[in-house]
Amino acid sequence: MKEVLTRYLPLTYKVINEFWNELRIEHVRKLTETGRKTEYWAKCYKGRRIFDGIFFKRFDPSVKANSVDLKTFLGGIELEAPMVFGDMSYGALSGAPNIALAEVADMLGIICGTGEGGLIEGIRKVQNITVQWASARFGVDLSVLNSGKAIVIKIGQGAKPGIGGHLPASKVTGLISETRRIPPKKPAISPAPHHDIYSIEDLGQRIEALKELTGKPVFVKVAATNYISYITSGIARMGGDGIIIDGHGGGTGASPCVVRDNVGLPIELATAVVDEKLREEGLRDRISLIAGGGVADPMDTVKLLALGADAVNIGTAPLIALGCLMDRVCHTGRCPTLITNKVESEVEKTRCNFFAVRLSNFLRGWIEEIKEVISAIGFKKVSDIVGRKDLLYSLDLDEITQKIMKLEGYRIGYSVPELLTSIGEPNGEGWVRHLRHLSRTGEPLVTGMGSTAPPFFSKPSRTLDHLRLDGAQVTRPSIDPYREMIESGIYLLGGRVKLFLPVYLSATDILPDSSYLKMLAHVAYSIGSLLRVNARDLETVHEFDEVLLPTGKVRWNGVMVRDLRHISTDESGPFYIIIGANDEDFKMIKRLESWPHNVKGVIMDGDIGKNDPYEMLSLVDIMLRSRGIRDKIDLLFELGDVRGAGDIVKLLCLGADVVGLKAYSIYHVVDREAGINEYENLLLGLKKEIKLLAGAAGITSLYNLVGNRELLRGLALSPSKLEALKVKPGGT
Amino acid sequence: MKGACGIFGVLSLDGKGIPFEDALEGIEAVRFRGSRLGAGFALFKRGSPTVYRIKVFIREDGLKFVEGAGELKEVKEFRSFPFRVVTFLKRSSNPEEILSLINGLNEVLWDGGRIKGRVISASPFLDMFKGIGYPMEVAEEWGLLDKELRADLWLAHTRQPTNSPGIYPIWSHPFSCLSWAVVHNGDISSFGSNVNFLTCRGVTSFVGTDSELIPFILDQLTRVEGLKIEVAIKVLINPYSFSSNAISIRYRWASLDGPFSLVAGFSDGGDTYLLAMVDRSKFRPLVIGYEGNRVYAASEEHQIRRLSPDARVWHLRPGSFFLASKKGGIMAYGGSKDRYVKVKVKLDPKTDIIDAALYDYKGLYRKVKELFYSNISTIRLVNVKGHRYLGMGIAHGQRLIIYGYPGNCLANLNEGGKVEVYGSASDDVADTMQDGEVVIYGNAGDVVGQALQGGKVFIRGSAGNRIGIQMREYSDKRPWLVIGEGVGDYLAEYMAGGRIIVLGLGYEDVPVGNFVATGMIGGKVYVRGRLNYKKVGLNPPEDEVRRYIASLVKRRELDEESVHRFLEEGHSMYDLMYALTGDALKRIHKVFLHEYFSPLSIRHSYLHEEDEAVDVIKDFFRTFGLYSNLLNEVLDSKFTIIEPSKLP
Repeated sequence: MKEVLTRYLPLTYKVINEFWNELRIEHVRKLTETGRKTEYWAKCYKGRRIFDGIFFKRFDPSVKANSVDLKTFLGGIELEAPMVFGDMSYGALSGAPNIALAEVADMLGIICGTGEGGLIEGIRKVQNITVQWASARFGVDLSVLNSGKAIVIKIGQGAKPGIGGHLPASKVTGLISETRRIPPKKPAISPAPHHDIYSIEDLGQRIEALKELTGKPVFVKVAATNYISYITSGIARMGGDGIIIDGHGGGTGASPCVVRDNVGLPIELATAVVDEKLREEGLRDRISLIAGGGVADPMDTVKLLALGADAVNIGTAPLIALGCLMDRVCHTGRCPTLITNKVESEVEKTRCNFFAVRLSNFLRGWIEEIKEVISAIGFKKVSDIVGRKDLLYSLDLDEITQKIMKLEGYRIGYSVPELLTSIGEPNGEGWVRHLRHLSRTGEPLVTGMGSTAPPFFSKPSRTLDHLRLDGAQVTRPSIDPYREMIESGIYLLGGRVKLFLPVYLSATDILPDSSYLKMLAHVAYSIGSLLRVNARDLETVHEFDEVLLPTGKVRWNGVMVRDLRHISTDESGPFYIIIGANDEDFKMIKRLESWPHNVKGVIMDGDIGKNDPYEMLSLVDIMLRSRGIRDKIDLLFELGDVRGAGDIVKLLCLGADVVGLKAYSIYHVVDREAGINEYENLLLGLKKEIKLLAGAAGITSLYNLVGNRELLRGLALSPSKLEALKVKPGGT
Repeated sequence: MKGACGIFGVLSLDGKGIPFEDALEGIEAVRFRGSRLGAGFALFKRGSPTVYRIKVFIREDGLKFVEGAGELKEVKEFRSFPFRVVTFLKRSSNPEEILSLINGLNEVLWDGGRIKGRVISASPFLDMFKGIGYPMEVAEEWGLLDKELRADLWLAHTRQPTNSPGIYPIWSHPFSCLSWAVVHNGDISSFGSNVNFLTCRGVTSFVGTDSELIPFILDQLTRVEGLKIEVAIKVLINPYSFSSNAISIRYRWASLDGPFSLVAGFSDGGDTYLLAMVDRSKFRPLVIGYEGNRVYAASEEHQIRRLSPDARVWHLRPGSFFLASKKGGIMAYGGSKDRYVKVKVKLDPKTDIIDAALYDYKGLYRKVKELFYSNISTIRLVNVKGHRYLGMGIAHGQRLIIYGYPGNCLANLNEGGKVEVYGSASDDVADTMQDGEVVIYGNAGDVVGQALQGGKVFIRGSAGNRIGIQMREYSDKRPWLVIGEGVGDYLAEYMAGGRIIVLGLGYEDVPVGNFVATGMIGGKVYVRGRLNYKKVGLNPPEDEVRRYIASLVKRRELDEESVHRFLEEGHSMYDLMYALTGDALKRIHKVFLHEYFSPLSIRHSYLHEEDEAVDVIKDFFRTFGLYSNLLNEVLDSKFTIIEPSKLP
């Protein structure tokens, strides 16, 4: 135990493949030891983030300015450096870290956010803090609002846009209960939206109310989502003094993985478009812009300033300075470094000392490095570089992102060396572990700390990896599927068939194994889904007739599933026709006049054909819509490589009514000894995660996802791909 | 306190018409809900059904596109935006022809986002005036003020843009399609699906705001699909009770998801209709008013009260609508029209009284704050109409007496003071209140007592949705919230402590909406009468539960007999859980409940004499001076008592 309190633990093998890898963590640790700048720049390398494709036109490390003025003003508050410690609550952290963060911020003249957990003794007296007004109002009263320099209305968080908070009952101890003003030993729930803020004008009312009440500046914290530029201009118009934007990649104490990895935009992009929008509308001078979420070092920091931020928010880096190993177990109370779990009081003193020393060294070193970067680009005052995109250029950044960010760009075709990029979750295949978790528990996977998702934090391999979903905030409330109704029913054949979730199973290309097939049929039945089978297998699973969709000359609800080429002219429908993801099939179905009479649906098997299956799905949906018949034609899409609820929701948005999971690929994901409950759990878990994503986007009926491309944004995709998908690029 | 934008609609029922000045006053009353970025008006009047009056915003370089489209009537120049407005007449007996003319014009004028212009309206009966600025400025620029304009129906809007810029008047409301006009406050998350619905039907030009789609969808559903107006509205709102209906499924991509309140007008030449509707969860405010010859729909109650002080006023229920026509009168109320408490008070002229009419809401809040600061302990306010923040952050010993209709955020963060309202309050009363008292003699709006953590809140009449959500108790603090009549949906959501009592005075049935106590983890709710258990919590869809039970029976993990009662009568999740045991119960729990679910105990019983609730109810009756025989009747009735419990 003593060890944890006085020195760092060695890194586990896991972080080697992380975004927060050895190199980045060692950098932070170096700062904490010396309190001085390091030689980190020499090791700077190129990754996949937008940050990594942006450089300063002029960068001469040999230029050492005598003094660099970092004085920064946020909503009228004077700071010694353009830095803010991100909001982390008492409860999410264990107390001593909260105090250390606040004290060090105070000592070095920056600001520390205190999160939604009220103020504990030891923080109350600290000057340079902000207090939070969040959806559950934990620990809020007049005296708390009057503490600190400013009030933060917390709307959203980069790691979970559109999702509320949940502190398990076990973590609500006596002191936490007292500080949060909630009953002890009961879970602390923060609703997904503020139930008094369903619109920009509601937010304006709350900003005004808090300002009238306390006379303090009010900041609004939001996640970087699709409409971030409109949201921030709204906040500026509504009298907010500052905006804190938290990007995809930002940390969290607990977030459903599926939301963290699929919703929201990177902070670099958001900062650039927000700054642009505010200038365009003449609002930039009215409001301070604080950006964060995945900021790993002072170089990232200065880049964000040049992209338009007045100050930069960091959370993960200071936690690493406190000893965090990126074990991602914050939500479990089993943090190996005792940062997020309750500690006996006798060791608190040792901890506080250790924390305060490390953290102040860290911040001093970090600030020194910022100064070094600023002088290397030829400046002496930080305020002179804010919003100076002209100081930057991009290298090999995709054309659209570069244009949207209004950066000068060059292309030399430099490809990212595999070894130098993070390759996703520990063990490479995060999504397999995730699906296994669903099949074991039937519950969404919850995790701690920032995202590891493609395309920026791990290698993208499919079009879907480049699509991001929307999170509802400010202009419309997100919906909490645990406590509010989200209808998950999907209707086929004009309402004759209802599935309880937008997912079916397809067992047409597995060997006939009667027990496995029977089990899948039973699962499809109990969960209210469908099972696609070959006609020859019907006999085996006849017990579950009503949920079987057979291929061949057998009817299901009056419909026959057939290959378009094999239907003879004398056959009468209605039909579901099967196509693959290839040009020939697309050409064929584009000729509506060649269709047999009475087609009721199209089943696209994405594993057949060479084309990008996601693009083909979208093309078929758009083609049917442009002919005015999509309302009457069901569109089913199936694929072996469906990696989770994020994929399913994106496929629905690209036009599928229902997404089919291939039996063979599920077989490889679920544990060998799994029984019917595990297979059911997998679908249940997916359904819950689909609802989480729909709710985060403010959708209460899943069929409103179908073809709703407005909820999607493409990142790092070519113009032609975006055009084919009819998806707008991120940042627009 | 929900709502970006302010909306207003008023329909004359007696044929005398409504002067423009009334529409202007109604919308200017909520000027603070909007911004400089857009306002507008629509009027409906008689006209020849085959003569379409087409109005178009046009830039210099777009003029050539409208040449020859019809008989030119008027060209008007504007100062505040770079468009002129061209009005021309077009004779046609085929609305489809006009619609394709509109769409064609919009397509060419859009010009890849260079925006050369936009059709404003095209109808024999509808005329529209919209621009950039607050409603008054738009009215001035259109020269509406000195014309003595009267109309059967007016719609008006002041805009707070959400997802589109507001720099051009093409983004201002109302929006129209043929003889439909709509003013809207909301943010539609189904936007992409709704665009798909229209493009399938040949409507292809959009300015990118969700509001514009709505009149086009209404036109398609009524004129093309032949749905009755009431049915078309239901498709749009798609309330939970309607969403599995065949019509809802058929037109599923026409339904609007996400928050909205909207007011629409329509005329078929024969009759003129006023429609008002809110989303299925009611995330935006909408108040209906009725007085003799007029009906109103407005964002806030005081908009109506300014024009008709004695109107009957009610709020729309989640997912419901109001419909009235000039000839048919009120056809759908969309809310309980009984929800009305009239308060008559005699003022003592000797006491110090502040006339709220002399202040805007911020000014009044500051004045009150200043007076309390100077040690005045009791303050009386008269003529309060929509003034916000009153009683916010007041302390022990301070007393605020309000006559009228206070605006949003009444008594927020009250630290121990007393607020009395002789009239009705609006949304977000007593948010994060720590201590003290709030006594309201009339009704209250949505979200009363959110995160209430001390003191007591008494409401004589009814309250809206989300009452007592996130109430909590800690150390020695226990808040009480008592409602005299009824409440809407989501009562006691996420409740963690304290007590809520709903007395249902004057009601035969139990006046409580759906989703009661969802996510409740502490505290107690008392509702007089037997509350249908299906209204408690978030019950999974019945068809899903039935299917899963059938599956358990098929795999012989459940004996059909043991769930017979459930299958036969279709009870709530709670009945089911009590009917099951062992593995089957565990499995059902896994499948339909989530790990954060906290089961509730629901009892239907008399109050014990020693129950604290009895004293509080007596206090409530004393406070409002209600008859003691009514008190006895209440104390003699059974209550449904809800509190958290353990799984059976």
